[in-house]
Amino acid sequence: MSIAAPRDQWYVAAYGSEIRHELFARTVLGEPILFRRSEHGEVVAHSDRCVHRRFPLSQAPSRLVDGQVVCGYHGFTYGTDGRCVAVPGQTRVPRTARLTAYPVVELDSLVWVWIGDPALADPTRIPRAPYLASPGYTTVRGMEPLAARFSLLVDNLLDLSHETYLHGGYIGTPEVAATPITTEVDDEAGVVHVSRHMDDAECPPFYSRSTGLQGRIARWQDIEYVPPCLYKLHSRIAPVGSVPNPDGTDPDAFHVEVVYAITPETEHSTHDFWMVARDFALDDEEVSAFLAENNRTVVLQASRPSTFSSGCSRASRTATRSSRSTSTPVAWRRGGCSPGWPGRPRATPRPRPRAPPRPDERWHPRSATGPRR
Amino acid sequence: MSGGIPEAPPVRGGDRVYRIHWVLGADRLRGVCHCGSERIFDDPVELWEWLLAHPDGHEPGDVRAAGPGPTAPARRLVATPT
Repeated sequence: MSIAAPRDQWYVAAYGSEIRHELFARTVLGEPILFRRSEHGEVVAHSDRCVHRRFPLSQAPSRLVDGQVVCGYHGFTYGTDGRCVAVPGQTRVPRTARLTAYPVVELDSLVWVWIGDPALADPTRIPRAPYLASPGYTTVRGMEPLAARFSLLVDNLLDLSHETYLHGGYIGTPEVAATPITTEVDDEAGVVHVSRHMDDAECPPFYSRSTGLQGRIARWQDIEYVPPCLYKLHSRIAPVGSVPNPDGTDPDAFHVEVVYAITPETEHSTHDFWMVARDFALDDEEVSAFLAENNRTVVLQASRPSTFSSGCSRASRTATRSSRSTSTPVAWRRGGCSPGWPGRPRATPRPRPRAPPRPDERWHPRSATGPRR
Repeated sequence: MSGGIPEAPPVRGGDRVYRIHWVLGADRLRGVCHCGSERIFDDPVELWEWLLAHPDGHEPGDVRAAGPGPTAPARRLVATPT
């Protein structure tokens, strides 16, 4: 059983830098979508299937001619608005010959696409990550295809206690698995927050080599997950004993924003967009290369089939201490994936009847956190 | 902190925030509803079923098998850039 990816939601389909004037295809929630930039530079998104015989418009010999997409099968031709403007061999073009258009917004260097009823697309619901496009930060990024359903990546990222072991030598230190954690689910704001503050911790290579800090550090991890797509890990690295000033300034600390856009490609595969933004060593290309290489390694470590297949194993039902607050996907599934979340008032007051979970439903949310029987 | 339960000050300040604390040194989770009711669970699924059943089975001030609720002042998230 898998938790179906929710529709009527915004998803990151691409980095803005990926979309140029050429045709660009990416599948989101099983829907093949064709992206490109209009002559005005705006990103447009339409179905990547010709209305005639469903031929992929992103696949050769389909091509762009003077800004119009010409289907490689029979030559149906589409304008930037998705409307069919020419059908070879006939003078009349059916008015209904139009590619399905997707609401799309380019924001914070990300291209967001709305999957669902276009009438419900509200750009103000797109979660923000302004540092990704801020001159005060330098960002490295990548995208890895993941052969697992997206909910497993959510589970993995909300449970950072695995860093100690799976990512030892990179970002994991003993304290990560041994520090108290608190999970908060803000039902109104539509945010899951996981907080782990290590005030005296070993500095992992990922941070010692990028910041230059040696010895013990204060390491704070604050996850801000805005279901279903955007995961932000606010990481604060500072000398032991250093705390932010009352006015919010934090001159002694290094701040790293680790962002993941978790976009379902199909029911069983995921686009794993990863970004690391930092507010120090902005022009140091060596630091950029180091962080990019290391974070990609971490992503690939987590992408091993064994990592995600373990989410379904009998052994995974054994409870572990430090990973247990990752039980939040239950709430995320209940609330975060509903069309009205976040911020929409409930149509009916609580309490709501809730059917007992089926055995397989009870299985997944505890993938790594299940009870000890 | 009391009874081995880590005192984790809240970050989110909304009116409908559920909080789950890992009970330090134990295999248990402490669920705290926005109404103030809290309980300790072995099973995270049962914890969430109880939280989401609010107000059924929730009595403000009801603390079962639990230590004191979160009383620390709200904490500011400083790592979020403005």
